[in-house]
Order: sequence, then structure tokens, then C-alpha cells
Amino acid sequence: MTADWQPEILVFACNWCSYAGADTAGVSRIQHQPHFRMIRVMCSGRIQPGFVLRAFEKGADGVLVSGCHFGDCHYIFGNERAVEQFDKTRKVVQLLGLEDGRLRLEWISAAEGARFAEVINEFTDQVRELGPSPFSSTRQVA
Amino acid sequence: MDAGRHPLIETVTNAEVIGCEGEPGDFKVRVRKYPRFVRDDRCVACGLCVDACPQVGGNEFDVGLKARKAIYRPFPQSVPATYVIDPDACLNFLPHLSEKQKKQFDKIQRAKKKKRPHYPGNILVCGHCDSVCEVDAIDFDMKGEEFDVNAGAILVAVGFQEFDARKLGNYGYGRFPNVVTSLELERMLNASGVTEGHVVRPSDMKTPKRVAFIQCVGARGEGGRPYCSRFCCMNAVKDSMLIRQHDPEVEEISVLYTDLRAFGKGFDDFVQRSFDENSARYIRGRPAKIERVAKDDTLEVFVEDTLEHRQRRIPADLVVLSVAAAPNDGAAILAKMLGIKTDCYGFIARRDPAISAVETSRDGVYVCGSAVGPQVIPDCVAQASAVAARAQLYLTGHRVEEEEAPVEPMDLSGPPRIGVMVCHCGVNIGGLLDVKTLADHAATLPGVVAAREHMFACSSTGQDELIELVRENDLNRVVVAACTPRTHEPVFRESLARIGFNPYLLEMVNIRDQCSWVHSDHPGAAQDKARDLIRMGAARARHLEPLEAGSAPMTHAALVVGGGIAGIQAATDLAVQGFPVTLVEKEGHLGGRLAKPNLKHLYPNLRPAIDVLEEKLERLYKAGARVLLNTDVKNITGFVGNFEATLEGHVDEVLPVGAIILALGAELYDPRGQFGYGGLTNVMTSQELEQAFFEDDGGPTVDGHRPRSASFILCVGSRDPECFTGCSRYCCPTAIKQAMQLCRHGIDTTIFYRDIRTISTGAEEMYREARGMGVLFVRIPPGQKPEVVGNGRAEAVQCFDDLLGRRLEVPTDLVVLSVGMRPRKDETARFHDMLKASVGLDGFFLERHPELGPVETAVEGVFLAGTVQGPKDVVDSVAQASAAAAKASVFLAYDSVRQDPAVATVDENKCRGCGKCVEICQFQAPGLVEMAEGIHVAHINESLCKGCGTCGSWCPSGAIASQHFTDRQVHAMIDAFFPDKAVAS
Repeated sequence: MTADWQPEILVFACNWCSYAGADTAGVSRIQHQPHFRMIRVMCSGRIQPGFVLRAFEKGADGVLVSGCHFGDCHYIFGNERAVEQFDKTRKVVQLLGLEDGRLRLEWISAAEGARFAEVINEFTDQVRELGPSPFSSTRQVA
Repeated sequence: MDAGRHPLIETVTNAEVIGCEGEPGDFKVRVRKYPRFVRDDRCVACGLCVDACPQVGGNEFDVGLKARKAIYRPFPQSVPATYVIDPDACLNFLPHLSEKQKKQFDKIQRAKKKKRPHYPGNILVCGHCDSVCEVDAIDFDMKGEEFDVNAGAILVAVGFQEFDARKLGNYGYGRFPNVVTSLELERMLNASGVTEGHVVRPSDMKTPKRVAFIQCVGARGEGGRPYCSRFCCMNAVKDSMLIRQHDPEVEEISVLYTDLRAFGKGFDDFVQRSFDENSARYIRGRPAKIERVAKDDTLEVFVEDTLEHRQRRIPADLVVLSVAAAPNDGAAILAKMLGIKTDCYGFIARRDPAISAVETSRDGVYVCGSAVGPQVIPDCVAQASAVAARAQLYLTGHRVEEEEAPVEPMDLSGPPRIGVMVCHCGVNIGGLLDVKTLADHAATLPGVVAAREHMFACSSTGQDELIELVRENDLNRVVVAACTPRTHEPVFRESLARIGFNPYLLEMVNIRDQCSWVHSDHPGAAQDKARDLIRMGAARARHLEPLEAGSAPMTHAALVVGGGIAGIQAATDLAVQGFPVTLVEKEGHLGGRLAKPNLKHLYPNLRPAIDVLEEKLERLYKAGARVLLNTDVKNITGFVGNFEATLEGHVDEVLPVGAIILALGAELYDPRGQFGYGGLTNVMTSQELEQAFFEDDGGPTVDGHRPRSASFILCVGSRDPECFTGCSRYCCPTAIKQAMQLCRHGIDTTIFYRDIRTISTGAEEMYREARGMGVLFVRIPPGQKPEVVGNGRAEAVQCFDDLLGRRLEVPTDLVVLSVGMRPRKDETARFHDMLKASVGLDGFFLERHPELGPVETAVEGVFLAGTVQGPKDVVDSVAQASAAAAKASVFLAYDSVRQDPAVATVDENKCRGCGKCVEICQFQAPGLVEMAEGIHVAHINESLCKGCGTCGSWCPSGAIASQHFTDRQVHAMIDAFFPDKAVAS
């Protein structure tokens, strides 16, 4: 691990709330750390364990799943389904020996630009503290 | 934003109506449009001009809490997105010059030009915005214009303004900087507002430790306005919880109230939550004054606390005045121009809210929302839908015809040929990122055959270049790296669709809102991120599939179940528009609760219910709806546009319909066992009292003679954790109406209450009148109930009077229990089974969303009207029924049901019929179909699928593909993030 190593984080965000929240942070120019990439889905319920596992397999240092607050889901209960999937995902991730701090679930609404930035900063710091993912040693450092 | 984009809606802003003539069906409205000095056909909302402008002006949107430049966009999501120049702030305008002086100025300019030909004409004092604008959108010479609009109907939705709290000198608004209004607080609490969501004291911008809310400012008698402003109680409760969330350093929040009017669905539960979470302490009392007590502008609120029976001085660092809604300043002038009446307060008057929620005093002119008086949002939304339907009356014959100009679809087969356009967005992206390098890198990505940059991809030139790129390179996939897809994706999709390119083969990559705008401190990392995001976008693009919007035929007919006032209204509205509508009623007569002998008079002005009903029925029959009495709906199958209802009774038939409106009504609570009802002879319900009015105007007789006194007990069966925690909304004004009726006949009446919730139009004034007449009001402490005592018959009501502070025993000859509304259990269960429409925790049918879908259910094509959705009175039921009819008619106007193509599909070969998808879906889209003996396979109804993808992530066989967000597409993006392990696919 080099001195200027930065974590590589993948964020799954639902279209209606979390992705919109990230946009709100943008419109308000709320600066935050850049070491993450977003994948937009329509609902957090779409996030299956396979996606998260694949991300870690490919070398992600951290994965953040984000959706709407309970009661706000555009598809009514999609986010509740997401929680159920997430619990399963967390168990497998633990089984694989990845540290708890590498996987996180957050509810961020479309208006919460500041919260989005805050979560990104916190999570990035947390993952940086943990260092590169144990699976990322399989990646060839370019 | 949807309204701004709609092809049939022309938005004219910065304009006002200056005249109107004509007739319903043919109005000529004169509009004056003031110049914005920025051309809306050119402005791309990049914001460069704002940075360049040196002049600072006021800020209307942030209510003066924040400054803005002379050129500005009113707020981030404004429609149109065009900026505007404030001529009062801009240095280039000389508003203080008179016409004569301006002419002289021009003369001098011309003379100078003559003397020295090189003297540039039209010198601008300042032209900074113009000099940085890259699309030449600034036009200081823009003139206003006047034009006529030829309209069949006019809809007035001018809203309200805040009561001017400066009128109440004792509260110090305008004198003390730390006294703010609720609207100013809203701007502070807004995450994208002045203080990024934090509450601060205006005097020193510090977080206040103690906040006090004062309710009813400018309402219920204060400031000369007797009405109730409806939304303020709930707003204060909500704000108290928000402040707690955002600013935990705030130690104390006090809400100083008179009655807590949590009248709507879920409101009481919300207030309870506030109590449970201790978000505020509620002090019952109306403050006398506010004083400044320290140099640092700390304040003290003087109030008599009627719960603790003492005078108090509440210290506060910030005081929020919950100001009432007042009519808009321009409303009176507009009303005059349109020839419609205003009411005694200055709001736009409705002809008769019980007959129609939205008619003004003039035919063809309708009104909705807060323009009629204080409203809560769900009511505004419902009225707005209702008003749109009414306008249709004058537009019949102009059916929407979808112009399907047939475009030859392009040949998009073969291996992916991707084109990438990277946008600069002026300096928004280009100022931080090296766009050229991004484009060059994109050109090297697998599948990419062409890459280009553009200054403003969303502009018309940008669109043209995109089309050129597609054609020149035979592209079959397009990636645009620019702003968020949530803004301009539809624009790009439309441009592509117009040349036959499937719009679902477009991928937008967000390198502005989620990159250049938020990572300006790390330009290197931002560049890497943008490059990675483009790579991920291209990877997804390789796997995008062309999708076609499907359709199912629409049955152009409606079914209304239930012949009460709501059902009658809905059926009338639909029939008048020309839709075949069948109104089905189980009983032998129409009218429901308005039919004799249920309701004698309507409040607040004692209109005989029978008159209202008769007028409604006349309109119904004139409209030509098909009415079936003594008929029941036995079963309903199908889905939106294609329902089949089995009717039994007066007719036996299977009726095909496209939309269904449920107007099943509600029951009244049976108070058996409480307050002596059923045991003591002179205890009756409010319903029974109303029925007695039909026999005799003076009410019932007790033991053969007229009672000398009567006691009303409110909230029986409501606000009670044992049966229904919510408010039944109609009972307070009804009890007052009935009490006044008895009072007029010499009977002493006393009303025992917890809060008086007279929020309906005219109800607060009726409350005041009742007190004037001598009706006594006894307030019961929270958590307690009065007791009815007597032997064989009720003799007195005992309780603790909260305002007097002692126990009372009020002798009474008659006890009336104001019973709440409850859902009809059996009917609800039956229709829930048939339609799968959700039922809320309170037992009433659940609307899709309180603000965005107050009359829809989650099942498309099924709507709610009236008390079936929750307790309400006649005026609210009528408004909601019109809204339901309006929504239904939107479907029925089209020839087919449009299906969004980004839906889930099932691969039958993989499906093992486990039924998990059916269990999960909220919208009834998947269903199990028996393909062969014992073999089931899931089929997804594309008309109902909303494309959330949840079933796709749960299917254990991997049989469900969530189109446009498939597993392969997501995997491709994940893989592309980490290129060293990119899997060729």
C-alpha cells in the first residue's frame, strides 16, 4: 500500500431518493471526497447480494447501499425488501472475512444533500482506516 | 418540471392578466408579459452570469434572508430554467428616470455619437453578464409584450400570502430580529436554503438554545381575521421535529397553542409521536406580548398557561410566528378583471362549496388551492385535479390525439457501436476537468467508435451535433457525459427518438452534479472519477437493449361504486365529460348520508341537506350517467383499462370498464357501553339527534317533553387508542351546529371537548357565533373523559373543567355523543380482496401518497372518493370526488394504456413458479399462470409493473430480468470500475 493510496468505493443509489440527494449536494456545491463511483438503480430493492459481492470480488474497498427512508419509497416497500437482502449480504460478507466497516446501508432522501456528503466523507474515512480490501491484493497494482 | 416539459402546456412567466372578456367556452384574456432580459430560447442555465454580476439585490424566495445578484435564477429547480434580470438592481437600468429624462438621456447619447462616430452607442454601464454569456442570451433591449389568450375555461390558482405579522405590534415582528415567521423558518430548515438546514438566530447567526412557536398569528380573531388557517398547527409540530433532527444543540422547543388541530389522516398519530419523542413542550395559551430582555436580543414571551393555570414568561432565543394565510394582494384586482367575486376576507369566493369544490361566481372560471382560503397540501392537490376536469366541459371536442408521426426506426442491430459526447457545460465541467482528455480516452474504450466534446450538449446545436455523430458513424449506442440524467435525459431521448434511434440505447454519465461541482478541491481525483464513470457508462451501453413501449387497449367506461354524495359527484363529473359511467348503489335510493333521514342541515349556514342532494341529483341525471339501484358488485377482475365488474341485483351483467372509483362511504361508531349509551334512556348519538330534527326543529323529546338542557360529548370513538387514534374531522362543527339549533329553541347546551377543531370554511366563525349565543364549552384535560351519571336516565355530566381548574357537575336532560367515523369493515374487506387496493392501519383505504396521489390507490385505475378513504365532511367529499373523476378521466381519454418499457420480464424456461415475485410486488403485476397440469409460471403484467426491479433481485431462479437495469448491465458497470479484472462479456 503506497502512501497516496485512496480507497475505491462503490455506491449503489436509488433513483428517486439517494441519487437525487447526491444531485442536491451537487446543486448546493457541497464538497465531499471523490473516492467513490455511483451506480444508479430505480429502487434499493433492486440491490441483490450478488452485486455487492461482485464489487468486493473485483476489489472494491468499500460498498455503500443507499435508498429512501421508510415510508418514502417510490415503490412503497422496496426499501424494506432492500433491508432484508442487505442482512443476507452482510452475513456473507462477514463469512468471507471482510471487515464490518466495509459495507454500509444508509437512507438518504432527495433533499439531504448535506447528509449525502457527510455519509460519503465518513464512510471514505472509515474505509481508508481499514486499508485496502483483502481481495484487492488480487488486483495488479497498475 | 413535468409541467414545463409537457408539449401541451405553454408556460408564461413574469406575466399578469390585465383584462378578460367573453363567455365560457370563448374567453379572451389579455396578458402582459414583462421582459426577463434573458432569452429563454437560448439560456442554458449554466450560471456563469451570476458569477460575473457585480450587483447584489434582494431575494424573494429566501424571504430576504439571503442576497442574490441582479441576474439570477429564482431557485435551483425553477421552471423555466432561464435566468432573469431584476431591473431594479441591475446597473443598466435607470428606473428612477422618468420618460422625459430617459428621452433626454437618449438625445445626449445620440449627440455624442454624432460628434464622435467611434463613440460606441448603447453604452452599457455594466455588461459583465453579457460578456461571459457563451450563448448570447442576454438582451437588455428586450421589451415587454401584450397578447391575448383565447381560452375555453379559466383556472385561478393564485395561492396565498403570509399575514403581515408587523400588524401585531405586541409580537415584535420587524422590531426584534429574532422574531421570524414560519416561512422564514422553512427557508432556514431547507437543506438547500440559506443556512443549509440549520436554525439560527438572525441577530448573531448562532444556534438558538430555546425556540418558541406562537400559533394562530393573524387567525382566529387576531389581526382582524376570524378564520382558522388550517395548516399551522401541524406545521409547527413538524418543524419542532425537524429542528430536533437538524440541530440537537437546541435545548428547548415550546409550542404555544390554543387548540391542536390535527384533523387530517395520520395527523393525530404524528402529534402523538411528537409527544413520545418529546420534540416540544406544548403550552396552551395565547401570548400577550413578546419583549426583549437582554442586549443580545434574547426574548421573553408573556403567556397565561391554561394547562398549569399560571402566568408565565417563556425565555426564547428565537420566536417563530405561525402566521396565517391571507389572500394574495393581487387577488382582488384579478377577481375584478375576471368578473368573479371575492369573499369577505378577500379570498376568491366559491359559489357553493357543498355543490362544487371549484366553481367561482362566474361560469367557466374555476378556482383551486389556497386562493379560496387556507388549505393543506393534499386538499390543494385534490382540488387542482378537480378543476382540471371541470375545465374539460368547455373543451370537449378537443380530445388528445397522440401525434404518432411514423418515424422509420434505425437499424441498430449488430455489435455495439458506441458514440460518446462529453459536455463542457460552459465552465461548470470544463472549468475543472480536462474535457478533451476525457473525450480522447473515451474513444479508446471497447465498443466506442467515436467521441466528441461539446460546450453545451443540451442546447439545440448540441443536439444537432449528437444526431450528426449518430448518423456519420452508424452508431447504435450513445453515451452522453454531462449533467444528471434527472434533468436532461428526456431531452436527449426525444432528440434520438425523432430520428428513429431507440431512446433506451442512451446512457447518461453524471460528471457535473456528482463530480465537477462537488470535488473542486481535488481536481486530479475528479478527473479520474470522470474518466472511470465514462468507462462504466460505456460498459453499460454495450449491454443496453432497445425497448419498445407496449400498450393495452382501453375500455372507455367507468364504474362508480356507491351512490352517496361522493359517488354522485364523481359520476356526474365523468358523465358530463362524455364518458359512459355506471353508478352502482346497493340500497334502493341515492344520497347515502345526505338522504333523509340522516342529515338535516349542513354547516356552517344550515343549508338543508335535501336541497343540496336534489341539486346534485338533477346534475347527475342531466349528465346522463347510468344509475343502478339495488345492485351490488359481486366481483371485479382485470387491470387498468381492462376491468370486468360482475353486477348483481337490479341487473345481472358483466360490465367492462377502464377505471373504477370506490365511494363506499363510512360507518358511524357505535358507542354501546360508553357514557351510558344503550342503558340510560336519554343518551343518544349525534346521528340520532340529527334524525330527530326531521320530526321537530327543536330536537327530540325526552320523557314526553322538550329537554331543558343538553350536553354534547365530543371525540366519542375518535382520538382513542382503544378504537381509532385519528380525528373524525366532521364532529366538532357538527356538534356546534346541533348545539346552536337546540339553543335557538331555548335549550341550555354545553359542549364537553378536548380540542375544538373547526377547520372547515366558515366553521371557526360558527364557533364564535355559538359562544355568543350562550353555548357553553367545557374543556376536558387530555387523557380524561367526562362521566355520565344518573339512575335509569342520565342526570348530569361530571368532569374536571381544565379551564376553571375544578370538578364540575352539569345537570342535563339529554346527552348527545358525537360519534366518529369508522370504515365499513365488511365492504372494505370485500373490495380489498377483489382489487388488492391497500388498506391503511386505520382500516380505511390507503391513498397512494397523501400529497402526490390523494385520490389514487397503488392499484392503477382504482380511485377513492369520499369517506371511504378517511373521515371528512360533505365539502371535502365533493372536492375529493371531483379529483377522483378527473384522475380517472385522464386514463379514459386515451385509446390505450401506455406501458413503460423498463419493466420486468420472466424467462419461462427458468421460472419454477415459486410465487416469490407475486408475494413481493406492491402493484399486483406478477401473477402465476397454470401452463400445464400442476406447472405454474409467473407472468408479469406490463401495464402494472412499475420497473422497480425488486422482484428481479429476489427471484431464486434468476428468471426475472429487470429491463434497462439488468444484471448484466450492472455487472458490466461494476467490472468497468476495476479495469484490471474486466471480464470480457
